Amino acid sequence: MRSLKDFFVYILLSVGAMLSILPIIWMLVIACKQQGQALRFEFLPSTIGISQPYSIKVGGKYNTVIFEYVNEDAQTVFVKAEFAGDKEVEMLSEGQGIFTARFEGITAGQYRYSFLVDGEEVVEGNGLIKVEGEYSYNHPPRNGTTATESSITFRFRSSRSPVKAILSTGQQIDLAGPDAAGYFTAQLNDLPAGDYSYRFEYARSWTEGLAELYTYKNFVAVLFNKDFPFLKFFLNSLIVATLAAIFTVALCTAGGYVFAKKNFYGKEVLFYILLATMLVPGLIFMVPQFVIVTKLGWINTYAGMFVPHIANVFGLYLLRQYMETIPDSLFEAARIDGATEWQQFSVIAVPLSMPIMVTLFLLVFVGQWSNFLWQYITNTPDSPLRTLPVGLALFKGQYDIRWEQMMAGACFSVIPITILFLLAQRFFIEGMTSGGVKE
Amino acid sequence: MKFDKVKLRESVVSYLFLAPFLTVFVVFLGYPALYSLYISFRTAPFSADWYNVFGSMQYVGLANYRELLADNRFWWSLFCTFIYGLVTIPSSIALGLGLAILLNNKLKGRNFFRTVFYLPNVLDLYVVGTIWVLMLSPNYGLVDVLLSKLHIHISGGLLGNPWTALPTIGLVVVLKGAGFGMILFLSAIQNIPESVYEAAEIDGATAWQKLRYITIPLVKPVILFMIITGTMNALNAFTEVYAMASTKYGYGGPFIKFGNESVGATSLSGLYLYLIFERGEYGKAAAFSYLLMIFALIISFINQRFLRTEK
Amino acid sequence: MASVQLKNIRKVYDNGHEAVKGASFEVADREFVVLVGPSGCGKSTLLRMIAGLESISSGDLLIDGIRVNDLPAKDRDIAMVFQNYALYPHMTVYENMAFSLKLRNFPKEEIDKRVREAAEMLGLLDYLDRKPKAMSGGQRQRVAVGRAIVRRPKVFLFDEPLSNLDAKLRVQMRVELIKLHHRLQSTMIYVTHDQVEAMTMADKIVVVNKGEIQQVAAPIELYRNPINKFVAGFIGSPAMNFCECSIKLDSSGALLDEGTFKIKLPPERVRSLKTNCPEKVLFGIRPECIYDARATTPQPEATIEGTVEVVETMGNEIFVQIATARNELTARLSPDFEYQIGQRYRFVVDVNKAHLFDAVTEKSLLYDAL
Repeated sequence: MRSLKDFFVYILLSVGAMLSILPIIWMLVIACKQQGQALRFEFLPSTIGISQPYSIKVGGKYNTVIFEYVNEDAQTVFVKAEFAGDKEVEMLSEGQGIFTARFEGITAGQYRYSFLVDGEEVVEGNGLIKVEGEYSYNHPPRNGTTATESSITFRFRSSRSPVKAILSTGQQIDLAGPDAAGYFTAQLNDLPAGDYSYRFEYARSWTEGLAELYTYKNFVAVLFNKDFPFLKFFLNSLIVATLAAIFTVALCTAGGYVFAKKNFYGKEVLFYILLATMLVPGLIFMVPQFVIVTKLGWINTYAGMFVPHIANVFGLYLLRQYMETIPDSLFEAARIDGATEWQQFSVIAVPLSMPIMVTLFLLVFVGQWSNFLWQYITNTPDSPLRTLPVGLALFKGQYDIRWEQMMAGACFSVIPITILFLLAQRFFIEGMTSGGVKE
Repeated sequence: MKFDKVKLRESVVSYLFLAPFLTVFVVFLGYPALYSLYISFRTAPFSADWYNVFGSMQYVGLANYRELLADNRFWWSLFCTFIYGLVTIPSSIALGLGLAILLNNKLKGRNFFRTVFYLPNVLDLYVVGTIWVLMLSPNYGLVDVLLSKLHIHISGGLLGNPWTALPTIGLVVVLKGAGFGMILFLSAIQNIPESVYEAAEIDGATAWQKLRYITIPLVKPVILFMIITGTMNALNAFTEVYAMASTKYGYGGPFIKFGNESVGATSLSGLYLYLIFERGEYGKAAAFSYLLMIFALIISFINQRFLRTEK
Repeated sequence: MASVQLKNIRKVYDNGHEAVKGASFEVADREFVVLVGPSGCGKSTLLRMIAGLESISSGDLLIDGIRVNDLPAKDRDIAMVFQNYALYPHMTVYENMAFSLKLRNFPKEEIDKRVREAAEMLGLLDYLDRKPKAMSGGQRQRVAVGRAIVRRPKVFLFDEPLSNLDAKLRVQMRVELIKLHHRLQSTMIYVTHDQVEAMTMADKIVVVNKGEIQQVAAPIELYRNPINKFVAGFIGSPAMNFCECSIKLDSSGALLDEGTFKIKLPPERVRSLKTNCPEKVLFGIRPECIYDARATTPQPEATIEGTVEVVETMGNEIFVQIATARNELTARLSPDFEYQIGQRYRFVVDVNKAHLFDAVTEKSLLYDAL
């Protein structure tokens, strides 16, 4: 009976826990996905690879050359071919580091060609290409599929069999091989003239499948993006959150101390005024705070980002509640022992309030880490001091959504806080509910 | 009043300790509250220089307030906020209390679950919101795929459909914040002496009766606290809609008809206020803030009246 | 070497509550004075005013003849032991004891010497590195005392230091504090609500009630010669019995009539009862001055007859609750006789130890200032 109940409780809790950290897991998964894979509901690597679709002309009147260059690290690739007058022609990026360029109507013959990868000239083989007869030609090494007036000869390089070609008409053909150079080939005859497209389906290893779905490159791309210096945003976030937390804790500790332990004129009234501001929607302060920050010349400064928030009434209240649990007699004993007012605070109150001070530090830190709106309006869009959330928002706003990179960026925001939380979770959780000082 | 020498001395010391806090408080909270009130009676001409908007503001009396009160979108944003609060507050109380009760069992791995449930709470709402946008995206997002496996199809996706957008955003926020309520309830429940439950058990109370007649009445202060903070959060809600509302039609989510106008289904007052602010209508934004404050005060007053626990 | 003098000290709080209504007494050098009274009587406030923790509303406080009203606590050269010990939880025993010396910039060697000396005296040498949390109540109490000793202050103040200890430990610590006083030979002021502590420890007792000092006297004097009904009832356990009686004076003494019994007090005892004797008096008799009639010669004019309602057995003695038609009395008897509950018995009172109080003012009618 008892264990059955426990079992159900565990089930419920586990489901809840999964749901609760699902966004984090999802973020990690998407951040690791290859470009263009974010919105494909595919997570397990497949051992059947599918090539991108290629197009080919059967019965074409002109000789055609399609150059294909594969380099995942390349940003821009140009091709220089003799038949095109040795002009540098930019190749089209098709994603995943595949660049293509197509030339038509070439007279049969042998020509020189070379690639320019990010400005660097790359010559393959002897640097010559042979164009002959009425057929289309893809540049090696990946393919060497050719077409004549009524047939296509498929050619595909793969380390494993089987390899299959699928034509846009629905026809399929198994490729035989591999030959000495590692190519699989097959010929499809009696095709009517016209434009075709085809894909290859090929066996591959599990790791190749994984590599097609996942990559670490998004993180690299985010970290070293010239337009969005995430590393800088990260550092800004760190600085702003730390400064805010240190100052808030200092102010609230001093303030909480006197509200908890001192009897002074105006104490009650002042405390209620302070508490009342907690009831007021925070947005009410935003406009004038913005004015003041502007007048102080604090736009695009760290001070502008954190100073307006360091008089944290909630923090003051938290510290006061905690310090009230420190017995008065400790301070009286200290007074008799000869402690000055400052010593009573620094030697008795502060060390005994450490747990709640750490709690407040962490609460303010994570609060500021993700404070979006204020940091958004105190920084002009070109400010070098933008923080992570602001950077992320702009990242989302300015480009077509690149989910994979965006999630990689989100990781840089979420992971430090998660680690911080896991290390200090005792303070987060107990600080909110602390029983106070125990003698 | 006779001034007590000792108290006078202590007052001087106290105010010295308070000086840094009070300085920042006065400059960035006290003065802004009053200045807000001041500029809520003013407006800047359209020709105003961006860098001197506040200098060129002119007194317009109650015009800002009148305009807002006559603005359908203003009322709509309040209605959205009300619905939003109606979705988020009870569900976060129920979820927090439920988790607290489950975790109050003496289970192995209790701390692990406590940590996992609290974790989302420390994360950036904007980022979590963005992740959910991805998870909720139509046709490809995890949630939508799961729903279509159950043969539930929502046109435009959960966030793109005007009827589901706001509750969905609300539930995401509730899920993210569940750990906070859980911790509050957990500590309240753990403060209830075991002997009270033992006495109830001897009196023949069922599990439900123990919850109904012991736990809930004794955690009432936490419930009250969560209602008040939930109200504040609803009135201040901005980041979640900014991150999650469909941007296809600008901010404010999918359109819905309200009177003669098309309005955003997730156009919460915080977002609408932000939009006014962004347009540079600072006077109107300030008036908006004050109207919100009046609502906040009324709501917390009503809450206190109806839910006050006996002294 | 210090004396403490209080001259008409008053304490009025902000809310108008008058906690101490003009207290005057003197503590001589090396004297152990106990302030005793029920909780909330103002005795702690008095002590805290001497310590400098509370401001003095009016009156003069003199230490060694110097007015110290406005001197802050740290400059009065006093040490205090608190009810909850007030040990600094984040410091070790050593640090707790050394704290005051450190604040006063004593040289390290001197601090070390004094702390070890005090620790040895209190048997704390093995615990110097511990935090208070890891110690028992009795040990914490010693640390609190040690913290006071290292200062070698002019005056030691104790604020109910034993009330958080269990009964057995309390008796033990009581003895130790008495020894400590003999050893240190310093002025000590001790506050307690426990009259047993007061009686056993004090050179002089100050009885306080409702913010007013009732009587200042040596313990035995207080027992024998209480100034009013409050002191008489507060000192002694079980408490003195009081019965309202009418009184008739003649040459053969005073005749008290309770209604159910009559008591004749001898002339020597009522010598101080002058002509202006009230009609109604309170007859006071301590439980230990009541005997079973069977054990003594019959004395009809000192006999009380009543029903036995409760018998509490202590072992060496028994407490018997006796009810007359009008009053209830407690008697402290030897366990030689057995009593049936509900039966009537006769008891004899020792008329030479009887007290008389004015029924209205509650002042003692027999008190002589000696």
